[in-house]
Amino acid sequence: MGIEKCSRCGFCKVNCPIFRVMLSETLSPRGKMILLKKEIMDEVFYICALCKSCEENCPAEIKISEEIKKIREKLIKNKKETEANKKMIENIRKFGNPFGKIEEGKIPRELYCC
Amino acid sequence: MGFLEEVKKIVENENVSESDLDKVVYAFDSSYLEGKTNFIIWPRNVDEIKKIIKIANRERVKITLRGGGTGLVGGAVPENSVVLDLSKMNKILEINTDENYVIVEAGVILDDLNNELENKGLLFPIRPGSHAVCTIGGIIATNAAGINAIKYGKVENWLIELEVVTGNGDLKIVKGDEIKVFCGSEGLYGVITKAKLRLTKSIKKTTISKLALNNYEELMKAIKEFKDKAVALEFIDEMTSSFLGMQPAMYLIAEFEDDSGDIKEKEEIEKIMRIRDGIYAALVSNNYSIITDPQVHVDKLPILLKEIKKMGKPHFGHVGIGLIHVHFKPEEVGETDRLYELVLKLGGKISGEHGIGKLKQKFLSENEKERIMSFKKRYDPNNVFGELEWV
Ligand SMILES: Cc1cc2nc3c(=O)[nH]c(=O)nc-3n(C[C@H](O)[C@H](O)[C@H](O)COP(=O)(O)OP(=O)(O)OC[C@H]3O[C@@H](n4cnc5c(N)ncnc54)[C@H](O)[C@@H]3O)c2cc1C
Ligand code: SF4
Ligand code: SF4
Repeated sequence: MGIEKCSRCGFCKVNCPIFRVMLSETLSPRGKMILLKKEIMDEVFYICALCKSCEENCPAEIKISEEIKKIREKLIKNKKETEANKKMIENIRKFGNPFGKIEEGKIPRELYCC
Repeated sequence: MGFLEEVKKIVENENVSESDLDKVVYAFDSSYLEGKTNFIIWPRNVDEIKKIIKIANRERVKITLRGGGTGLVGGAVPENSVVLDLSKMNKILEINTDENYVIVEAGVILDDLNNELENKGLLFPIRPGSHAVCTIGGIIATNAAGINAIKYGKVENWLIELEVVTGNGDLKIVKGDEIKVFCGSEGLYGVITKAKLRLTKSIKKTTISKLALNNYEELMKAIKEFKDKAVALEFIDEMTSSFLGMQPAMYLIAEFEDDSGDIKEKEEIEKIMRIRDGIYAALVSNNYSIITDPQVHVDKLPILLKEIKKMGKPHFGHVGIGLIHVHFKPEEVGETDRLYELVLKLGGKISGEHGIGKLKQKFLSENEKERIMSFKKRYDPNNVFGELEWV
Protein backbone atom coordinates (compact mmCIF):
# COMPACT_ATOMS: atom_id res chain seq x y z
CA MET A 1 0.00 0.00 0.00
CA GLY A 2 1.35 3.47 -0.87
CA ILE A 3 1.94 6.39 1.45
CA GLU A 4 -1.05 8.26 0.01
CA LYS A 5 -3.18 5.93 2.18
CA CYS A 6 -1.63 7.25 5.40
CA SER A 7 -4.37 8.76 7.58
CA ARG A 8 -1.87 9.98 10.22
CA CYS A 9 -3.54 7.81 12.87
CA GLY A 10 -0.22 7.42 14.68
CA PHE A 11 -0.57 3.69 15.39
CA CYS A 12 2.89 3.15 13.87
CA LYS A 13 4.43 5.18 16.72
CA VAL A 14 3.39 2.69 19.38
CA ASN A 15 6.29 0.26 19.11
CA CYS A 16 8.80 2.35 17.18
CA PRO A 17 12.00 2.15 19.26
CA ILE A 18 13.20 5.51 17.97
CA PHE A 19 9.98 7.30 18.88
CA ARG A 20 9.67 5.60 22.26
CA VAL A 21 13.07 6.94 23.28
CA MET A 22 13.18 10.31 21.55
CA LEU A 23 9.45 11.23 21.81
CA SER A 24 9.80 13.32 18.66
CA GLU A 25 7.05 13.14 16.02
CA THR A 26 9.57 14.01 13.34
CA LEU A 27 11.63 10.92 14.12
CA SER A 28 8.51 8.71 14.34
CA PRO A 29 7.23 6.70 11.38
CA ARG A 30 4.16 8.95 11.19
CA GLY A 31 6.43 11.99 11.01
CA LYS A 32 8.47 10.36 8.28
CA MET A 33 5.30 9.63 6.29
CA ILE A 34 4.34 13.31 6.57
CA LEU A 35 7.77 14.34 5.26
CA LEU A 36 7.54 11.79 2.45
CA LYS A 37 4.14 13.08 1.36
CA LYS A 38 5.68 16.55 1.24
CA GLU A 39 8.56 15.10 -0.83
CA ILE A 40 11.11 16.28 1.72
CA MET A 41 14.31 14.26 1.49
CA ASP A 42 16.50 14.59 4.53
CA GLU A 43 19.04 12.68 6.52
CA VAL A 44 16.35 12.12 9.16
CA PHE A 45 15.44 9.01 7.15
CA TYR A 46 18.70 7.43 8.36
CA ILE A 47 17.32 7.56 11.91
CA CYS A 48 15.42 4.30 11.63
CA ALA A 49 16.37 0.76 12.63
CA LEU A 50 14.37 -0.77 9.75
CA CYS A 51 12.86 -3.07 12.39
CA LYS A 52 9.36 -2.94 10.82
CA SER A 53 7.56 -2.73 14.20
CA CYS A 54 5.63 0.19 12.77
CA GLU A 55 4.24 -1.95 9.95
CA GLU A 56 2.63 -4.41 12.34
CA ASN A 57 0.26 -1.70 13.57
CA CYS A 58 -0.40 0.25 10.38
CA PRO A 59 -4.11 -0.01 9.46
CA ALA A 60 -3.34 1.09 5.90
CA GLU A 61 -0.72 -1.66 5.57
CA ILE A 62 1.92 0.78 4.36
CA LYS A 63 5.36 -0.78 3.92
CA ILE A 64 6.98 1.98 5.92
CA SER A 65 10.48 0.53 6.09
CA GLU A 66 10.51 -0.07 2.32
CA GLU A 67 9.55 3.57 1.78
CA ILE A 68 12.38 4.63 4.08
CA LYS A 69 14.86 2.40 2.24
CA LYS A 70 13.83 3.94 -1.10
CA ILE A 71 14.49 7.41 0.26
CA ARG A 72 17.88 6.35 1.58
CA GLU A 73 18.81 5.11 -1.89
CA LYS A 74 17.83 8.48 -3.33
CA LEU A 75 19.77 10.30 -0.60
CA ILE A 76 22.89 8.31 -1.36
CA LYS A 77 22.50 9.01 -5.08
CA ASN A 78 22.34 12.69 -4.15
CA LYS A 79 25.47 12.30 -2.01
CA LYS A 80 23.53 12.88 1.23
CA GLU A 81 25.07 10.35 3.53
CA THR A 82 25.82 10.42 7.23
CA GLU A 83 29.46 10.51 8.27
CA ALA A 84 28.96 7.22 10.18
CA ASN A 85 27.59 5.53 7.07
CA LYS A 86 30.48 6.70 4.92
CA LYS A 87 33.01 5.57 7.53
CA MET A 88 31.36 2.15 7.85
CA ILE A 89 31.49 1.52 4.09
CA GLU A 90 35.10 2.70 3.95
CA ASN A 91 36.00 0.34 6.83
CA ILE A 92 34.32 -2.63 5.17
CA ARG A 93 36.24 -1.91 1.96
CA LYS A 94 39.57 -1.47 3.79
CA PHE A 95 39.37 -3.95 6.67
CA GLY A 96 36.46 -6.28 5.82
CA ASN A 97 34.41 -5.11 8.83
CA PRO A 98 32.48 -1.94 9.80
CA PHE A 99 34.64 -1.20 12.87
CA GLY A 100 37.93 -0.39 11.20
CA LYS A 101 41.28 -1.78 12.21
CA ILE A 102 40.85 -4.12 15.17
CA GLU A 103 43.96 -4.98 17.08
CA GLU A 104 44.44 -8.53 18.33
CA GLY A 105 42.44 -9.08 21.57
CA LYS A 106 40.94 -5.55 21.57
CA ILE A 107 37.25 -4.57 21.42
CA PRO A 108 36.45 -1.73 18.96
CA ARG A 109 35.81 1.57 20.79
CA GLU A 110 33.55 3.07 18.18
CA LEU A 111 30.79 1.24 16.35
CA TYR A 112 30.07 2.68 12.94
CA CYS A 113 26.63 1.71 11.85
CA CYS A 114 23.94 2.89 9.43
CA MET B 1 14.73 39.61 24.40
CA GLY B 2 12.15 37.79 22.26
CA PHE B 3 9.87 34.93 23.35
CA LEU B 4 12.13 32.22 21.90
CA GLU B 5 15.26 33.55 23.61
CA GLU B 6 13.43 33.67 26.95
CA VAL B 7 12.09 30.12 26.49
CA LYS B 8 15.58 28.87 25.70
CA LYS B 9 16.61 30.05 29.16
CA ILE B 10 13.84 27.99 30.74
CA VAL B 11 13.96 24.64 28.91
CA GLU B 12 17.01 22.69 27.84
CA ASN B 13 18.17 23.26 24.26
CA GLU B 14 17.02 19.82 23.11
CA ASN B 15 13.49 20.65 24.28
CA VAL B 16 12.86 23.53 21.94
CA SER B 17 13.03 23.40 18.16
CA GLU B 18 12.70 25.75 15.27
CA SER B 19 13.90 23.20 12.72
CA ASP B 20 12.13 23.21 9.37
CA LEU B 21 11.45 19.48 9.60
CA ASP B 22 9.75 19.77 12.99
CA LYS B 23 7.70 22.69 11.71
CA VAL B 24 6.39 20.55 8.85
CA VAL B 25 5.52 17.54 11.00
CA TYR B 26 3.99 19.41 13.96
CA ALA B 27 1.62 21.20 11.61
CA PHE B 28 -0.56 18.04 11.65
CA ASP B 29 -2.55 15.79 13.95
CA SER B 30 -4.82 12.89 12.89
CA SER B 31 -7.36 15.22 11.26
CA TYR B 32 -7.06 16.32 7.64
CA LEU B 33 -6.11 19.90 8.58
CA GLU B 34 -2.66 21.37 8.07
CA GLY B 35 -1.52 24.27 10.24
CA LYS B 36 1.55 26.39 10.71
CA THR B 37 3.90 26.61 13.66
CA ASN B 38 6.87 28.80 14.46
CA PHE B 39 8.49 26.43 16.89
CA ILE B 40 7.90 23.53 19.21
CA ILE B 41 8.54 23.23 22.95
CA TRP B 42 8.62 20.04 25.02
CA PRO B 43 8.31 21.11 28.67
CA ARG B 44 9.57 18.70 31.34
CA ASN B 45 7.69 19.99 34.38
CA VAL B 46 4.95 22.31 35.55
CA ASP B 47 7.35 25.09 36.58
CA GLU B 48 8.64 25.33 33.03
CA ILE B 49 5.05 25.49 31.76
CA LYS B 50 4.10 28.26 34.20
CA LYS B 51 7.09 30.35 33.11
CA ILE B 52 6.48 29.72 29.39
CA ILE B 53 2.80 30.66 29.62
CA LYS B 54 3.58 33.81 31.63
CA ILE B 55 5.94 34.99 28.92
CA ALA B 56 3.49 34.03 26.17
CA ASN B 57 0.78 36.00 27.97
CA ARG B 58 3.01 39.06 28.29
CA GLU B 59 4.32 38.86 24.71
CA ARG B 60 0.89 37.90 23.26
CA VAL B 61 2.28 34.73 21.73
CA LYS B 62 -0.26 32.02 20.85
CA ILE B 63 0.21 28.47 22.14
CA THR B 64 -1.33 25.25 20.79
CA LEU B 65 -1.37 22.29 23.17
CA ARG B 66 -0.55 18.80 22.00
CA GLY B 67 -0.56 15.33 23.53
CA GLY B 68 -0.46 12.25 21.30
CA GLY B 69 -1.63 14.22 18.25
CA THR B 70 -4.43 11.70 17.54
CA GLY B 71 -7.23 14.26 17.67
CA LEU B 72 -9.58 14.05 14.71
CA VAL B 73 -10.86 17.63 14.72
CA GLY B 74 -7.63 19.62 14.48
CA GLY B 75 -7.41 20.69 18.13
CA ALA B 76 -3.63 20.17 18.18
CA VAL B 77 -3.10 21.77 14.76
CA PRO B 78 -1.28 25.09 15.25
CA GLU B 79 -2.46 28.34 13.69
CA ASN B 80 0.70 30.42 13.37
CA SER B 81 1.32 29.44 16.96
CA VAL B 82 3.88 27.71 19.13
CA VAL B 83 3.26 24.01 19.79
CA LEU B 84 3.59 22.94 23.42
CA ASP B 85 3.98 19.15 23.29
CA LEU B 86 3.29 17.46 26.63
CA SER B 87 4.70 14.03 25.63
CA LYS B 88 7.79 14.36 27.79
CA MET B 89 5.72 14.85 30.93
CA ASN B 90 5.04 11.14 31.13
CA LYS B 91 5.50 10.05 34.72
CA ILE B 92 3.05 7.94 36.70
CA LEU B 93 3.41 9.60 40.10
CA GLU B 94 1.29 7.45 42.44
CA ILE B 95 -0.84 4.33 42.21
CA ASN B 96 -3.03 3.94 45.29
CA THR B 97 -4.40 0.40 45.56
CA ASP B 98 -6.30 1.09 48.81
CA GLU B 99 -8.37 3.93 47.44
CA ASN B 100 -8.16 2.94 43.74
CA TYR B 101 -6.76 6.10 42.24
CA VAL B 102 -3.71 7.12 40.23
CA ILE B 103 -1.89 10.44 39.87
CA VAL B 104 -0.28 10.96 36.46
CA GLU B 105 1.38 13.65 34.42
CA ALA B 106 -0.57 14.72 31.35
CA GLY B 107 1.76 13.20 28.74
CA VAL B 108 1.36 9.58 29.92
CA ILE B 109 0.07 7.37 27.11
CA LEU B 110 -3.19 5.64 28.05
CA ASP B 111 -2.00 2.09 27.30
CA ASP B 112 1.25 2.67 29.22
CA LEU B 113 -0.88 3.60 32.24
CA ASN B 114 -3.14 0.57 31.91
CA ASN B 115 -0.17 -1.77 31.46
CA GLU B 116 1.18 -0.53 34.80
CA LEU B 117 -2.23 -0.77 36.47
CA GLU B 118 -2.85 -4.30 35.22
CA ASN B 119 -0.05 -5.59 37.44
CA LYS B 120 -2.02 -4.27 40.38
CA GLY B 121 -5.42 -5.60 39.26
CA LEU B 122 -6.65 -2.10 38.38
CA LEU B 123 -7.90 -0.36 35.23
CA PHE B 124 -8.67 3.10 33.87
CA PRO B 125 -11.65 1.92 31.86
CA ILE B 126 -12.15 4.57 29.16
CA ARG B 127 -10.67 3.06 26.03
CA PRO B 128 -10.86 5.17 22.86
CA GLY B 129 -9.77 3.50 19.62
CA SER B 130 -6.52 5.48 19.88
CA HIS B 131 -5.71 3.99 23.32
CA ALA B 132 -2.17 3.00 22.32
CA VAL B 133 -1.22 6.52 21.21
CA CYS B 134 -3.37 9.11 22.99
CA THR B 135 -2.32 10.80 26.23
CA ILE B 136 -4.14 11.35 29.50
CA GLY B 137 -4.09 15.14 28.91
CA GLY B 138 -5.58 14.62 25.45
CA ILE B 139 -8.40 12.35 26.59
CA ILE B 140 -9.29 14.76 29.39
CA ALA B 141 -9.18 17.77 27.08
CA THR B 142 -11.52 16.05 24.61
CA ASN B 143 -13.61 14.23 27.26
CA ALA B 144 -13.06 11.07 25.26
CA ALA B 145 -15.18 7.94 25.38
CA GLY B 146 -14.55 4.36 24.42
CA ILE B 147 -16.42 1.49 22.91
CA ASN B 148 -17.67 0.50 26.39
CA ALA B 149 -19.32 3.86 27.10
CA ILE B 150 -22.64 2.25 28.09
CA LYS B 151 -21.08 1.08 31.33
CA TYR B 152 -18.14 3.42 31.85
CA GLY B 153 -19.35 6.66 30.28
CA LYS B 154 -16.82 9.36 29.39
CA VAL B 155 -13.55 10.54 30.93
CA GLU B 156 -15.44 13.16 32.99
CA ASN B 157 -16.85 10.32 35.14
CA TRP B 158 -13.36 9.26 36.24
CA LEU B 159 -11.68 12.49 37.32
CA ILE B 160 -11.00 13.36 40.95
CA GLU B 161 -8.68 16.35 40.61
CA LEU B 162 -6.75 18.22 37.92
CA GLU B 163 -3.71 20.46 38.00
CA VAL B 164 -3.97 23.18 35.37
CA VAL B 165 -1.89 26.17 34.24
CA THR B 166 -4.26 28.90 33.06
CA GLY B 167 -3.72 31.57 30.40
CA ASN B 168 -1.89 33.96 32.71
CA GLY B 169 0.53 31.27 33.85
CA ASP B 170 -1.09 30.60 37.23
CA LEU B 171 -1.31 27.13 38.71
CA LYS B 172 -4.79 26.00 39.62
CA ILE B 173 -6.04 22.86 41.38
CA VAL B 174 -9.39 21.98 39.88
CA LYS B 175 -11.95 19.96 41.86
CA GLY B 176 -15.71 19.40 42.03
CA ASP B 177 -17.95 21.00 39.40
CA GLU B 178 -15.08 22.97 37.85
CA ILE B 179 -13.61 19.67 36.59
CA LYS B 180 -16.33 19.59 33.93
CA VAL B 181 -15.10 22.94 32.61
CA PHE B 182 -11.60 21.66 31.90
CA CYS B 183 -12.69 18.17 30.87
CA GLY B 184 -13.65 18.79 27.26
CA SER B 185 -11.93 22.20 27.13
CA GLU B 186 -9.96 21.11 24.02
CA GLY B 187 -6.87 23.09 24.92
CA LEU B 188 -8.71 26.43 25.02
CA TYR B 189 -8.62 27.41 28.73
CA GLY B 190 -5.39 26.01 30.13
CA VAL B 191 -2.71 23.34 30.15
CA ILE B 192 -3.75 20.20 32.03
CA THR B 193 -0.48 19.19 33.65
CA LYS B 194 -1.46 16.50 36.13
CA ALA B 195 -4.55 14.40 36.91
CA LYS B 196 -5.85 12.27 39.74
CA LEU B 197 -7.96 9.54 38.17
CA ARG B 198 -10.45 7.11 39.67
CA LEU B 199 -9.86 3.47 38.81
CA THR B 200 -11.87 0.28 38.70
CA LYS B 201 -10.90 -3.35 39.15
CA SER B 202 -9.53 -5.19 36.09
CA ILE B 203 -12.16 -6.95 34.02
CA LYS B 204 -12.29 -10.65 34.91
CA LYS B 205 -14.71 -12.06 32.38
CA THR B 206 -15.92 -11.24 28.86
CA THR B 207 -18.65 -12.91 26.81
CA ILE B 208 -20.12 -11.84 23.49
CA SER B 209 -23.25 -12.16 21.35
CA LYS B 210 -23.12 -11.55 17.61
CA LEU B 211 -26.37 -10.98 15.74
CA ALA B 212 -27.03 -10.57 12.01
CA LEU B 213 -29.92 -8.13 11.57
CA ASN B 214 -32.51 -7.93 8.79
CA ASN B 215 -33.78 -4.44 9.54
CA TYR B 216 -33.63 -1.51 11.97
CA GLU B 217 -36.63 -2.84 13.95
CA GLU B 218 -34.55 -5.86 14.87
CA LEU B 219 -31.67 -3.57 15.80
CA MET B 220 -33.87 -1.50 18.13
CA LYS B 221 -35.31 -4.63 19.74
CA ALA B 222 -31.82 -5.99 20.40
CA ILE B 223 -30.61 -2.65 21.85
CA LYS B 224 -33.58 -2.65 24.24
CA GLU B 225 -32.92 -6.22 25.28
CA PHE B 226 -29.17 -5.81 25.89
CA LYS B 227 -28.82 -2.21 27.04
CA ASP B 228 -28.89 -2.85 30.78
CA LYS B 229 -26.62 -5.89 30.65
CA ALA B 230 -24.03 -5.09 27.95
CA VAL B 231 -20.91 -2.90 28.35
CA ALA B 232 -20.62 -2.34 24.59
CA LEU B 233 -23.08 -2.58 21.70
CA GLU B 234 -21.34 -2.19 18.37
CA PHE B 235 -23.33 -1.86 15.15
CA ILE B 236 -21.76 -2.63 11.75
CA ASP B 237 -23.49 -1.76 8.47
CA GLU B 238 -23.45 -3.86 5.25
CA MET B 239 -20.75 -1.82 3.52
CA THR B 240 -18.39 -1.99 6.50
CA SER B 241 -19.01 -5.72 6.99
CA SER B 242 -18.03 -6.38 3.37
CA PHE B 243 -14.78 -4.42 3.90
CA LEU B 244 -14.16 -6.66 6.93
CA GLY B 245 -14.52 -9.79 4.81
CA MET B 246 -17.77 -10.77 6.55
CA GLN B 247 -20.96 -11.89 4.82
CA PRO B 248 -22.38 -8.44 3.91
CA ALA B 249 -25.17 -7.72 6.41
CA MET B 250 -25.99 -5.50 9.36
CA TYR B 251 -24.56 -6.84 12.61
CA LEU B 252 -24.72 -6.08 16.29
CA ILE B 253 -21.89 -7.22 18.53
CA ALA B 254 -22.79 -7.13 22.22
CA GLU B 255 -20.06 -7.40 24.85
CA PHE B 256 -20.76 -8.42 28.47
CA GLU B 257 -18.62 -8.63 31.58
CA ASP B 258 -20.60 -11.64 32.85
CA ASP B 259 -22.09 -14.81 31.38
CA SER B 260 -24.90 -13.09 29.43
CA GLY B 261 -23.32 -13.54 25.97
CA ASP B 262 -23.80 -16.66 23.81
CA ILE B 263 -20.11 -16.87 22.87
CA LYS B 264 -17.99 -17.88 25.84
CA GLU B 265 -14.90 -19.53 24.32
CA LYS B 266 -11.83 -17.28 24.63
CA GLU B 267 -10.56 -17.93 21.10
CA GLU B 268 -13.90 -17.19 19.43
CA ILE B 269 -14.28 -14.02 21.52
CA GLU B 270 -10.80 -12.86 20.55
CA LYS B 271 -11.57 -13.50 16.87
CA ILE B 272 -14.70 -11.32 17.01
CA MET B 273 -12.90 -8.62 19.03
CA ARG B 274 -10.15 -8.54 16.40
CA ILE B 275 -12.75 -7.96 13.68
CA ARG B 276 -14.42 -5.25 15.77
CA ASP B 277 -11.12 -3.52 16.60
CA GLY B 278 -10.11 -3.72 12.93
CA ILE B 279 -13.06 -1.70 11.62
CA TYR B 280 -11.21 1.62 11.47
CA ALA B 281 -8.26 -0.06 9.74
CA ALA B 282 -10.52 -1.70 7.14
CA LEU B 283 -12.23 1.58 6.33
CA VAL B 284 -8.96 3.50 6.09
CA SER B 285 -7.44 0.94 3.73
CA ASN B 286 -10.52 1.33 1.53
CA ASN B 287 -9.83 5.06 1.36
CA TYR B 288 -12.64 6.00 3.80
CA SER B 289 -10.15 7.75 6.06
CA ILE B 290 -12.32 10.64 7.32
CA ILE B 291 -14.25 9.65 10.45
CA THR B 292 -17.16 11.53 12.05
CA ASP B 293 -18.89 10.91 15.41
CA PRO B 294 -22.46 12.26 15.53
CA GLN B 295 -24.68 11.20 18.44
CA VAL B 296 -28.47 11.13 18.71
CA HIS B 297 -30.94 9.84 21.26
CA VAL B 298 -31.09 6.06 20.86
CA ASP B 299 -34.76 6.29 19.77
CA LYS B 300 -33.71 8.45 16.78
CA LEU B 301 -31.22 5.87 15.50
CA PRO B 302 -33.49 4.30 12.83
CA ILE B 303 -34.05 7.71 11.17
CA LEU B 304 -30.35 8.59 11.28
CA LEU B 305 -29.21 5.18 10.04
CA LYS B 306 -31.69 5.21 7.12
CA GLU B 307 -30.39 8.63 6.02
CA ILE B 308 -26.75 7.56 6.31
CA LYS B 309 -27.53 4.49 4.24
CA LYS B 310 -29.05 6.76 1.57
CA MET B 311 -25.81 8.78 1.59
CA GLY B 312 -24.00 5.53 0.75
CA LYS B 313 -21.27 5.87 3.38
CA PRO B 314 -19.86 3.00 5.43
CA HIS B 315 -20.72 3.33 9.11
CA PHE B 316 -20.54 1.61 12.45
CA GLY B 317 -20.96 2.76 16.01
CA HIS B 318 -21.67 2.47 19.68
CA VAL B 319 -25.45 2.23 19.30
CA GLY B 320 -26.04 1.74 23.04
CA ILE B 321 -25.32 5.46 23.42
CA GLY B 322 -26.63 6.52 19.97
CA LEU B 323 -23.18 7.28 18.54
CA ILE B 324 -22.46 6.44 14.90
CA HIS B 325 -19.10 6.74 13.11
CA VAL B 326 -19.77 7.65 9.48
CA HIS B 327 -16.71 7.48 7.24
CA PHE B 328 -15.98 9.60 4.16
CA LYS B 329 -13.29 9.59 1.50
CA PRO B 330 -10.91 12.59 1.61
CA GLU B 331 -12.53 14.02 -1.52
CA GLU B 332 -15.98 13.76 0.13
CA VAL B 333 -15.18 15.99 3.13
CA GLY B 334 -17.70 18.60 1.97
CA GLU B 335 -20.49 16.08 2.47
CA THR B 336 -19.96 15.97 6.25
CA ASP B 337 -21.93 19.23 6.66
CA ARG B 338 -25.07 17.49 5.36
CA LEU B 339 -24.67 14.84 8.03
CA TYR B 340 -24.20 17.39 10.83
CA GLU B 341 -27.26 19.38 9.71
CA LEU B 342 -29.33 16.21 9.81
CA VAL B 343 -28.07 15.30 13.28
CA LEU B 344 -28.89 18.76 14.65
CA LYS B 345 -32.38 18.48 13.15
CA LEU B 346 -32.79 15.22 15.07
CA GLY B 347 -31.85 17.05 18.29
CA GLY B 348 -28.48 15.28 18.42
CA LYS B 349 -24.88 16.36 18.86
CA ILE B 350 -22.39 16.80 16.03
CA SER B 351 -19.73 15.20 18.20
CA GLY B 352 -20.26 12.43 20.70
CA GLU B 353 -16.60 11.87 21.54
CA HIS B 354 -14.00 13.48 19.24
CA GLY B 355 -14.79 17.11 20.15
CA ILE B 356 -15.42 20.32 18.18
CA GLY B 357 -11.82 21.40 17.51
CA LYS B 358 -11.25 23.58 14.48
CA LEU B 359 -13.51 21.58 12.21
CA LYS B 360 -16.98 21.94 13.71
CA GLN B 361 -17.11 25.39 15.31
CA LYS B 362 -19.64 26.69 12.79
CA PHE B 363 -22.19 24.21 14.15
CA LEU B 364 -22.05 25.45 17.75
CA SER B 365 -25.30 26.91 19.13
CA GLU B 366 -25.39 30.46 20.55
CA ASN B 367 -25.63 29.00 24.07
CA GLU B 368 -22.56 26.85 23.56
CA LYS B 369 -20.63 29.79 22.13
CA GLU B 370 -21.56 31.98 25.12
CA ARG B 371 -20.50 29.28 27.55
CA ILE B 372 -17.11 28.89 25.87
CA MET B 373 -16.57 32.67 25.70
CA SER B 374 -17.32 33.13 29.40
CA PHE B 375 -14.75 30.47 30.38
CA LYS B 376 -12.27 31.94 27.94
CA LYS B 377 -12.67 35.33 29.63
CA ARG B 378 -12.19 33.78 33.06
CA TYR B 379 -9.24 31.47 32.39
CA ASP B 380 -7.51 32.81 29.26
CA PRO B 381 -8.47 36.47 28.81
CA ASN B 382 -5.61 37.22 26.41
CA ASN B 383 -6.30 34.21 24.18
CA VAL B 384 -2.89 32.59 24.74
CA PHE B 385 -4.51 29.28 23.85
CA GLY B 386 -5.95 30.59 20.59
CA GLU B 387 -8.76 32.80 19.42
CA LEU B 388 -12.29 31.56 18.88
CA GLU B 389 -13.24 31.32 15.21
CA TRP B 390 -16.54 33.17 15.57
CA VAL B 391 -15.33 36.10 17.70
C1 LIG C 1 -7.77 5.78 15.06
C2 LIG C 1 -8.39 6.72 16.03
C3 LIG C 1 -9.43 6.27 16.85
C4 LIG C 1 -10.02 7.15 17.76
N1 LIG C 1 -11.01 6.66 18.57
C5 LIG C 1 -11.57 7.48 19.49
C6 LIG C 1 -12.60 6.97 20.36
O1 LIG C 1 -12.96 5.80 20.32
N2 LIG C 1 -13.13 7.83 21.26
C7 LIG C 1 -12.71 9.13 21.36
O2 LIG C 1 -13.23 9.84 22.21
N3 LIG C 1 -11.76 9.63 20.54
C8 LIG C 1 -11.17 8.84 19.61
N4 LIG C 1 -10.19 9.33 18.78
C9 LIG C 1 -9.82 10.76 18.84
C10 LIG C 1 -8.60 11.04 19.73
O3 LIG C 1 -7.77 9.95 19.84
C11 LIG C 1 -9.01 11.45 21.09
O4 LIG C 1 -9.64 12.69 20.97
C12 LIG C 1 -7.88 11.59 22.12
O5 LIG C 1 -8.47 11.90 23.34
C13 LIG C 1 -6.84 12.62 21.78
O6 LIG C 1 -5.73 12.46 22.64
P1 LIG C 1 -4.28 13.00 22.24
O7 LIG C 1 -3.39 12.83 23.40
O8 LIG C 1 -3.84 12.39 20.98
O9 LIG C 1 -4.60 14.54 22.06
P2 LIG C 1 -4.18 15.57 20.90
O10 LIG C 1 -4.67 15.13 19.59
O11 LIG C 1 -2.75 15.88 21.01
O12 LIG C 1 -5.03 16.83 21.37
C14 LIG C 1 -6.43 16.79 21.38
C15 LIG C 1 -6.96 18.09 22.00
O13 LIG C 1 -6.62 18.16 23.38
C16 LIG C 1 -5.81 19.30 23.65
N5 LIG C 1 -4.81 18.88 24.62
C17 LIG C 1 -3.92 17.86 24.49
N6 LIG C 1 -3.20 17.73 25.62
C18 LIG C 1 -3.64 18.69 26.47
C19 LIG C 1 -3.28 19.08 27.80
N7 LIG C 1 -2.33 18.46 28.48
N8 LIG C 1 -3.94 20.12 28.37
C20 LIG C 1 -4.93 20.75 27.70
N9 LIG C 1 -5.30 20.44 26.45
C21 LIG C 1 -4.67 19.42 25.84
C22 LIG C 1 -5.27 19.73 22.31
O14 LIG C 1 -4.99 21.10 22.28
C23 LIG C 1 -6.39 19.34 21.38
O15 LIG C 1 -7.38 20.34 21.37
C24 LIG C 1 -9.57 8.49 17.85
C25 LIG C 1 -8.53 8.92 17.02
C26 LIG C 1 -7.94 8.05 16.12
C27 LIG C 1 -6.81 8.54 15.27
S1 SF4 D 1 0.05 3.66 11.15
FE1 SF4 D 1 0.08 3.78 8.91
S2 SF4 D 1 -1.69 5.07 8.42
FE2 SF4 D 1 -1.26 5.37 10.59
S3 SF4 D 1 0.14 7.16 10.68
FE3 SF4 D 1 1.42 5.34 10.60
S4 SF4 D 1 1.87 5.05 8.42
FE4 SF4 D 1 0.12 6.42 8.54
S1 SF4 E 1 11.24 0.47 10.95
FE1 SF4 E 1 12.05 2.47 11.56
S2 SF4 E 1 10.21 3.76 11.71
FE2 SF4 E 1 9.50 1.62 11.74
S3 SF4 E 1 9.38 1.09 13.92
FE3 SF4 E 1 11.44 0.45 13.21
S4 SF4 E 1 12.73 2.21 13.67
FE4 SF4 E 1 10.62 2.97 13.78
